[in-house]
Amino acid sequence: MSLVDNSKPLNFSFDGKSFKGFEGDTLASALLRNNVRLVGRSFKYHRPRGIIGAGSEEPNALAEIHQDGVIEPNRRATMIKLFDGLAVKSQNGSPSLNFDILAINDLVSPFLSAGFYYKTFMWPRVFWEKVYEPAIRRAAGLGRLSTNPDPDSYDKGFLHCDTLIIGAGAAGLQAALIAGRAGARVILADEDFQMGGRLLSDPQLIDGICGQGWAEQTIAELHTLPNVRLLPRTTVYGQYDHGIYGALETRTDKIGAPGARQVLWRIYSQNAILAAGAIERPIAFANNDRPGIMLASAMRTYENRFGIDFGDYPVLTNNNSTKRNHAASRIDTRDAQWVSDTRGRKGLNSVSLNSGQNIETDWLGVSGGWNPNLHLTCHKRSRPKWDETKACFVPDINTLPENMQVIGAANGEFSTYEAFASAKSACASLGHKSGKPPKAEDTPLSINAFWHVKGKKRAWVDFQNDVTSKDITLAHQEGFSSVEHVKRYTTLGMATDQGRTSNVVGLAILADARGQSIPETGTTIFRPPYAPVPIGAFAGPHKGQHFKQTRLTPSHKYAAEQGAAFVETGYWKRAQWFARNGEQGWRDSVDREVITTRSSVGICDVSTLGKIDVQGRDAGAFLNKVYVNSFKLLKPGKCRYGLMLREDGIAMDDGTSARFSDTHYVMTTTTANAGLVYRHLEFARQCLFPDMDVHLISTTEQWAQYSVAGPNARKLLQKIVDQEYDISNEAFPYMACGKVTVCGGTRARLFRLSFSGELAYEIAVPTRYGDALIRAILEAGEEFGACMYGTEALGVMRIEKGHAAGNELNGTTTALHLGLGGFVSKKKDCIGKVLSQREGLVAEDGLRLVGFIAVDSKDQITNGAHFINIGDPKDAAHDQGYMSSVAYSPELGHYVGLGFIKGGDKRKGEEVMAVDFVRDNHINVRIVSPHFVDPDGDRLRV
Amino acid sequence: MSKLKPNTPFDGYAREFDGLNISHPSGFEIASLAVANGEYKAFAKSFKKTYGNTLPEPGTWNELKNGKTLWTGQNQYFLLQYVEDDRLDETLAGKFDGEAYATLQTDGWAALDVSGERVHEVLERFVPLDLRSKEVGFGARTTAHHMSVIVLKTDNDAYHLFTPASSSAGFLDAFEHVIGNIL
Repeated sequence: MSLVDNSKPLNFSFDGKSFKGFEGDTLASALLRNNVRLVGRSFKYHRPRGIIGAGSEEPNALAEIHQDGVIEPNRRATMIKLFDGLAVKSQNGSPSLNFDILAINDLVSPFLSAGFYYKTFMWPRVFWEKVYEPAIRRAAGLGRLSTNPDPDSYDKGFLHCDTLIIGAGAAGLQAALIAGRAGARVILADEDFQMGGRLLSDPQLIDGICGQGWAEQTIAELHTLPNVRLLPRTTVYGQYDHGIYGALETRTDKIGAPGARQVLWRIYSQNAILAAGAIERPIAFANNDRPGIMLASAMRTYENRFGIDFGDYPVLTNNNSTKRNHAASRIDTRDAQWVSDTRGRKGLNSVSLNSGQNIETDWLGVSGGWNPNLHLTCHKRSRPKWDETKACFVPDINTLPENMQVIGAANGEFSTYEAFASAKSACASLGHKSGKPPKAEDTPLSINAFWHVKGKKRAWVDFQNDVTSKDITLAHQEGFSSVEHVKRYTTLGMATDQGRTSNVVGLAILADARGQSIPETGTTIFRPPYAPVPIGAFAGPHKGQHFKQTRLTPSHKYAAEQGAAFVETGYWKRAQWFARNGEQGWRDSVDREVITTRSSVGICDVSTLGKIDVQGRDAGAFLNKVYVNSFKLLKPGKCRYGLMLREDGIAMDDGTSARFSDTHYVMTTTTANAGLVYRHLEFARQCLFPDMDVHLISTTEQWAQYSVAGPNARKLLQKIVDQEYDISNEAFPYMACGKVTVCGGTRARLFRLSFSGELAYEIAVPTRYGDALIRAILEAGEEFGACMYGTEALGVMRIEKGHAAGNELNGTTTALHLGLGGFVSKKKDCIGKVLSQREGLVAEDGLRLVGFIAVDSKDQITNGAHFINIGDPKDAAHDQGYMSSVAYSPELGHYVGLGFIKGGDKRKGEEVMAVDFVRDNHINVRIVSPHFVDPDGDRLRV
Repeated sequence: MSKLKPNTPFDGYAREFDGLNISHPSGFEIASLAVANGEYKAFAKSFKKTYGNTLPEPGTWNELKNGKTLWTGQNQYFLLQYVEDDRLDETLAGKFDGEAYATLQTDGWAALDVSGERVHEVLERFVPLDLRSKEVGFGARTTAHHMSVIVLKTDNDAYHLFTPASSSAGFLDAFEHVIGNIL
């Protein structure tokens, strides 16, 4: 009985022509219903092609779905659920499906045999990329990529179950019923939108009712079980470690429909039962690819499930006891009869038999036996074994992935009763007992292997990649006799169908050529994905603004109100500069911010710096281990700059740590390395020093922290910090820290720190007060002309001051390179200390951080330039070092740079070339102290 | 200077969907408690005496007097108290002096309460954990899309979610995107 609803017509178009189908149709069934046989052109020879299968194994009927200028290519017509308004175009016809000029390829096919591209197009060499490759790609490509953005939404999700059952045919439904009734959490996934598998296509009785009825009844009961989840239109495409399966659920084929079009599920399952059925395979005889030649099982699907009428005279050729259905003529190879050739220009007209007889027919069903769908058993490198009786590969029970069982046709158990019995057995092994299996047909498969008809004409094996039996024998003749070599030389099985209909036939032809059995010849195994998964589904919702997380600072809203330009620093959005009316470009804004800060006061949000609370009786001793300098004896109420090394002695990060009590330090890290440093500290705490009483927790987000820098910083803060706290230079000197209150009682932490080189403080409040505090500070700073400054001004001032930052702590430099060699305590050990003393890292003439200015102050120095001694060739052999940071100094009126040069600390005053190999220019620069502004630090301490 | 007014992520946020309600809980503080080496027994005793319940096992949270506590790591807990006290850490440091170290965490997290008969349908597309099978009292730190989230199961179909404050806007946007695809 047909399962389409004739009372619900659906309009669709194919290549611009309108057709009508019904609810329950696939695009393939709807095309057949409208007598459309020609649906595509083949990959290489552009031969007319029609529908072969009825499921995801379909190699020919690939089409593009079109909607409002968006194209989704390479969709199988057999897997598209028909909907009203569906617009589909065929692929690979040039210029059209009916008139394809590239069909000329078929006439020159002797020149296009396996590996032809390895033998031709060798010269002239310049033609390869400019002529040959574009032409070949244009001729051979399948489908067109849409140039418009994908309008659809995709989701990802996570499911958990006791038992994942893959395939909802007779075996899968029965297994779900048994496990579901037993109370197990079951997920039943099937790639078809209608569950039931072959029960929907092959008429039969189960416990006295028709197969379709039994499936319907079973599905209805499964729907009532709260512990069973049914996932139709869901392809389990891969098996991964730890019982994890990937599955793609298609919720609609309509482009631009509301909601998620597809959901990529990660399924965590204790056990899996593979009940994915089997796929019929073709027989390779001459011209076996004409539209109208179809797998016999697919014909039965179209007849019984979709109600397609193939007329009175279809022919069936087979090598096994497959069901006959409506076939009028049966050509059985077991009776020494076979189809030797076919005729018909754009579709089958007649078939020729080995006896010489011709039969006129529009439809030919082919059954060359069955290939169990065992792909998922191979994803973790299990290999199937050959079953001579059934002439197919079956899963090897000895190498199956852990906690996976295979039942039904997927296990080579082809009768419906065997499917039920294997479901019972699999469920019993999981502890779910059940009664007798339903009564059903139990006819064993009888097959005499018959793979191909030898002859001079081409017989197709891989329809999607246009691989013929001659290609395989040719590959063997040319020395490519290993299965893996043949696969790659001919592209057999390498198309999007993963050779589901072709691999075994191809292997058999190769075995024949080699004079071996199939097991002796070998097999290929399968990798994920079982079926193509759109890139959009892998991306899921993680695109556009959802591509990664965005972290906003406590002052973000205020900064945006002030016209900030934002820059991404890690996941953070930080204010880069604050443009004001009349400023011509970012340099104007940055120069103003620097000048205002150095002459009065500027405020910068430094909340993004990593903040780690380090607490415990051994907190000081712990910091001694992770910093090169000493912290254990730092007095409460004081801060200290610290440098941290990786285990290999390379500088990892720097920052200040403040001591608030005997057992409490607050460490700051750079913004970029906050996570890395925290992980490093946890490793040290848990693995290297487990006996220390030390505890870590990130407080980066807990505190909103602002730098208030400039000669008027104290005056400004005295308006913010409550009166009872004395923050004068005497009471609160450089590098002091303390707990204070601000704005009438709000708790705060105050640090006397400076990155700019000016009198500066950092004030921190719980983040909830961050927005209010920044507004209060700027309001209080109005009388001083205070301004916000961004990361650019911050960078300028730190370069002017000679502070190393990310450009200098670049994963290749040590404390010595950074000019901080004397900073490394000789009295204690620390992580990385020993390895930082390696011979190559302590060489006298090694790189040292110094400053650079242009000899001609009008010259602009550039970051990344390499230093070459004047007079030396400008090449890598004479490289002396590199410029790491450059800024225009509004304070000095010219560019300043920091960089590393060999023996730099002893070369101050020397002139060298700064060669910019990227921009192909060079200037002369002078080596100077890295401290361009206030080298003695007087401004810090006022 | 006038007093600083606090504001927190999700302030006043509340939305109702078909089978799902989301709201922003307020009026609580969070502090972390790290147990000093060798002081677990003493701390556990003090803790029970103070809050009327034991410390939670890994992967769980416990109801307390006026709040909750969640296991967050070896010898580390988050304490949630329904108090208006942005000095909760200092209060706790006084209570558990020598036994545990307290750190204020309230401002680091943005909180949402989600509940309703379709809550799992939504969360299974957001959070990788098997929340359907967890008992009330389950608590864990995990991910939601790219973001960090702490999940507390408070009823069969109700959860507290805590996500880092700085990325909370993106978290909510992503969550609403997921909801929009389902409900």
